[in-house]
Amino acid sequence: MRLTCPHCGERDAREFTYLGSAKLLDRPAGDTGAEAFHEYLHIRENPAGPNAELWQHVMGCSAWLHVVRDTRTHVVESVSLASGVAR
Amino acid sequence: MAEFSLQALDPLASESLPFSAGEATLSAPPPEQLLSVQPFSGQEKAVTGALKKTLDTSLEPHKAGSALWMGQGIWFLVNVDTKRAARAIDQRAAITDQSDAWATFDLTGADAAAVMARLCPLDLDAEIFPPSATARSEFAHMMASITAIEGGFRVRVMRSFAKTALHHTRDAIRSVAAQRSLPK
Amino acid sequence: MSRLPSDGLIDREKIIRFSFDGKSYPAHPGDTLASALLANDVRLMGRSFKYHRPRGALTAGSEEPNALMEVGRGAHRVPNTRATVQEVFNGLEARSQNRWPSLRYDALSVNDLLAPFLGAGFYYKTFMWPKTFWEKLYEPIIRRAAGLGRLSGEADPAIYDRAFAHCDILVIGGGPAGLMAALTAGEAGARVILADEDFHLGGRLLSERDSVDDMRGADWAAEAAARLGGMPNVRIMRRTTVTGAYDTGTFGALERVADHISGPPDGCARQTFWRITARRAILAGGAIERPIAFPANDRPGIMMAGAVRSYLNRFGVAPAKQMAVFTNNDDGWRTAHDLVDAGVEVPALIDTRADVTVPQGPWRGIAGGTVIATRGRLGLNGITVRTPSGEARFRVGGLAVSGGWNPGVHLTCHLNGRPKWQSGIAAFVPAEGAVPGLSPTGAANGIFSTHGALVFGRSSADAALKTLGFSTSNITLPDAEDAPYRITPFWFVDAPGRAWLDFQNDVTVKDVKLAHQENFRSVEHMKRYTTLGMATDQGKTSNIGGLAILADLAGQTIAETGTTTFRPPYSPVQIGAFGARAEGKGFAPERFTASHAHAQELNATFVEAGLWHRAAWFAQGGETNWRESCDREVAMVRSTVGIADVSTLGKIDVQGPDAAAFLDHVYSNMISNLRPGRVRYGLMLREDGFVMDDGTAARLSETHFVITTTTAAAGQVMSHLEFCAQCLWPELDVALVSVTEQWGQFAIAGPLSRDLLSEMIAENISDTELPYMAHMPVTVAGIPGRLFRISFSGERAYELALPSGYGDALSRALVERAEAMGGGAYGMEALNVLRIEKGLLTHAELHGRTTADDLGLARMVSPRKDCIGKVMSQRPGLHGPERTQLVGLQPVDLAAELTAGAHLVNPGEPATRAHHQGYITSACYSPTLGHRIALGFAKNGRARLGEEIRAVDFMRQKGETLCRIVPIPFVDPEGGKLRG
Repeated sequence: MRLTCPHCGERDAREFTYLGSAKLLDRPAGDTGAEAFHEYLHIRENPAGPNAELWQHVMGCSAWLHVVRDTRTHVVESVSLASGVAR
Repeated sequence: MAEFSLQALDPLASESLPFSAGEATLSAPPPEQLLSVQPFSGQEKAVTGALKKTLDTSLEPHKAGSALWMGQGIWFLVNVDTKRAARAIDQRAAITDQSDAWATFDLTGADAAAVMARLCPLDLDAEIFPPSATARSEFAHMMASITAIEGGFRVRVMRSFAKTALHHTRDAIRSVAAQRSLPK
Repeated sequence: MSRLPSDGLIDREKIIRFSFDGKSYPAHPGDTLASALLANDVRLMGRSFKYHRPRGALTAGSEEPNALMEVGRGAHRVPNTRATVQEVFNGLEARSQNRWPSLRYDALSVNDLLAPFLGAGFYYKTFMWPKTFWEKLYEPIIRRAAGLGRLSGEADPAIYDRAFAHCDILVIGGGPAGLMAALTAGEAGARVILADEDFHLGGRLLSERDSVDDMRGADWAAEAAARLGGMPNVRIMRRTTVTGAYDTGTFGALERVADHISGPPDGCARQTFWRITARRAILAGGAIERPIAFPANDRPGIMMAGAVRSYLNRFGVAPAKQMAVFTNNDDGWRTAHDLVDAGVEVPALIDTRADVTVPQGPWRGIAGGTVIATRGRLGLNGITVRTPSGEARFRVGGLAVSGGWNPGVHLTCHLNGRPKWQSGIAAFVPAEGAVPGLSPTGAANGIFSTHGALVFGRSSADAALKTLGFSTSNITLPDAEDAPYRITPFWFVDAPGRAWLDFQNDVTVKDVKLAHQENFRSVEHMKRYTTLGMATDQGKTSNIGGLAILADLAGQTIAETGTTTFRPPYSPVQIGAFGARAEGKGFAPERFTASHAHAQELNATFVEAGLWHRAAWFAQGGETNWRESCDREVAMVRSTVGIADVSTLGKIDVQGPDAAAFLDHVYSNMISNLRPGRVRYGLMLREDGFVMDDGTAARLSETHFVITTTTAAAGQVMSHLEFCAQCLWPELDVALVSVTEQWGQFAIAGPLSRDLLSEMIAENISDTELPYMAHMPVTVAGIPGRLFRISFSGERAYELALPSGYGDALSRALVERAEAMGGGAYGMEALNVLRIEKGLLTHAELHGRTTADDLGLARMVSPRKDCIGKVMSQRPGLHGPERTQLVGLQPVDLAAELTAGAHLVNPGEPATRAHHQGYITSACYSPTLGHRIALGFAKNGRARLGEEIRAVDFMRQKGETLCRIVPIPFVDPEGGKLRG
């Protein structure tokens, strides 16, 4: 599989590590309770279709990336810098 | 306190370079001063301008010159007067000395690309990756910086990986050289 | 000898010799092992898997199910090598498999007599009684009987390479379609890779006598190959099987670099496993002929009709002196013509189709005929044919069979695609878009004429060029035959006797019927119940026959029945090739500190900490046991001074206007109130509230920090910090960069540490200038560095950092001075004892399931701010007396042993899970105290100081030790030595 890093261009998946759902971008504020953090950490949708994920280009530019990937076909629909994703 | 001195050692000091087989040579270029520069938020343009003006050094992505692109928002200034650079940067970027942290070696010769093919997943075709192009990628399972130079490639890995990096490179050079002698 | 007098793509000038089962035979360069054996009248090549039936080569290609041999000797022996693929070289040694004591006299052919008991799924119904017989008798026998070839049992001495390649267009297969596609794309200036599993380019052109552009097809192929060879943008990879299609235009390919020569030169890889990235790919891998099933259709001498033409035309070998032809399609007739032209007698041409006009020739043409029986135990010598006018018998040494052709769809199924049934050719063709960017063409796409292959090879390349933005070339199409493909499906002959479908796994028509009868009716169930298609050939010659019969039984069409899928690799790949360069030290990089050479001179024994090599202890004088060295080094640090290389710990430089605020987010304790010139111990939590790592944070200025991590977690922490900076708080202005390798860092620990350093450092390092937990810039022999006053040993201690280029020199200078003061170098074992004595933590305690509170560090989670993990660390279940808490332990009997990994149980309670009280994480002998000590976790431990508890080591089974829970640290609890 290949991912197109916005900085480095198309690279083999071996250069990246996968963290998990892009939901991890939406960290609850420190004063919300454990319930909100439990939801944030443990509760996930499991779509048969496009799924938003976080990958890091660890062997490349170190950028954290927001990737939308179809879990059925593995087609990557979009890759963008996680730092630029609107919250 | 008694007088004494400390000698610095090059990371490739004990590696018996240069090493050649077939049409590929592994060699060590002269040691480099490396200064990491990470412009702070909104300061990239100002820092780029200042370095261009005072040191004729351009911070461009994916390029290697007197500034070597090393990843998202980070360059290494190569063999640049660090005091003058710090003055030009004027606190608008984070700077650290990286001169000792990296081991640098060159792979040159007609078979350089064939050898690199056994070590690095990048597309190093000369039209796509001409001299002074640079990329961060993997080299034999290690984080590396790969730069195209005249006649071959310059590879930088973190210092502690030097022995492994050179070992794999020698194996690949030998492998490519040996294949040249096989019957068709 | 069955070698024909002339022709063939072999070098008749040169004679080479090879051996098979110990006997020497002549051959020519260009022969495969199969063609050379047939040329020498050797038709018996193996014994079948289950029934040990005599078998010969069925095919001339990589789909071969029968002629599997062991090639090479000793450690170089490779089992299950297909004789139809292996090129003969001078000195090649081959042996037949799966027979004992010999190929001709195989004792296990008795299995054939037991066939009624060994049908599909027999192992689900047998070997169950008596129960004890399984382990002692049945399993050992089955294991010995199982498998085909044997591994050598020795380490594989071959070198395998892995490599990467990139192209615009990957052409898979170098037959007429592939050559045309490559020429088209090459002329257009695209970067092309043309890969073919064979050692000659040309595909079927090498085996047929049809002309292309008025020359022999093989000659046209050679010219095309030469043309391609002259194009700098085209790379030809022969002997290279594209083994798998993967996501996003990635392909795996195995190149057999040196399997065709004896003894590759030193350092040469035997095989290379390639990862090819192609923007577009064209699958021109051709089609594979399928047999017809009939009783005893597996005897040596019964071959695919197309393979017979390969042996005649490519290898100049007549597989027998008399051969009949049995076919359901027009293509089979060509074999009859070619045989006769080569001087082989063809007594019969049998066509299953009653409604065709069988071509004229010196044979009896039988329309509407089927072969119903064969004879000849070690090789075919006769057949019986059922004709419309009665039965007929023929004496033949060979039978050429054609049941039609199957397009090679395999790669198109690797991304879960299922092929579509095309009734016009009675075969499956690739589904459209099954592999994005890959276009099947030519015979692989159901186009069987040479003209069709050339036309579609060119048009597929043109289409690919267009999508890539190249202008298409105007390449001319050569002339070639364009015969229609006429076939009437016919799958098996209904007559008494077992009829084989899967030759390699010994699966018959009867087995498929049995599966259906026992309700394994879906094609997936039938496959697994009968094992049809599950051998190393993945059913290349058997799948379609099997599911055609299943469809029949189910009263469905083949299209309705569907097919199983194919998975990479297309043909077998040795594990060594997949693991190329990853064995031994190649498995992972090694990391060495700047003091490594010096440590070796000091007689260090090294331990691997992650990828790093760290000195574990230094054997001095007559020390022969690690404990002697370790105990001495501990005593040395506590009484004089010791030097340890601590460069491997992660060091991260953190700078920026928001550096302090950022660190407050990631550390559990306050960092932003740290004064410049000070260093503080810090804890990092995971977001789920458990401790991730510990380290130190040193403040250099208002906006500049250098933090440390443990050696093991350095990469993980860096990644985590980058995640926090880029993803969670992108508005914070902070820059992070690793400086782990920039600095060589050494611990100087012990009562004499300051004295030692004062001799080396220009600056004033008195306790007033440099109190405990402070740091300052220093110069050592004119080299600028930094000195930290921190301790992991509990003694007065410092860490000195200089640029790592000076690491070797610094190590020598420090150890020399230390030795002059009665001290010296110490390693990881002593470092571990020292820190256990002080109750300090490593990842033995920070193992990912302990919280700050468990560790007695609850006060380090600041109430004044949020941080990663803060909220979740406070959730119910992570506090209270049910938690196991960090405690010290020592044996009641001071001479007793304590081991890490032992579990804690209360006295008087059984040592079971229900009564589990905790566990020991770190244990050692303390030379300072004279007995063993340990750190561990005990339920409600902090409230149980002084209590007795039992340590039970289930792993080492050395009995148990009665311990007392004691406070930590064990040594210097007031910490007076630290602050001096």
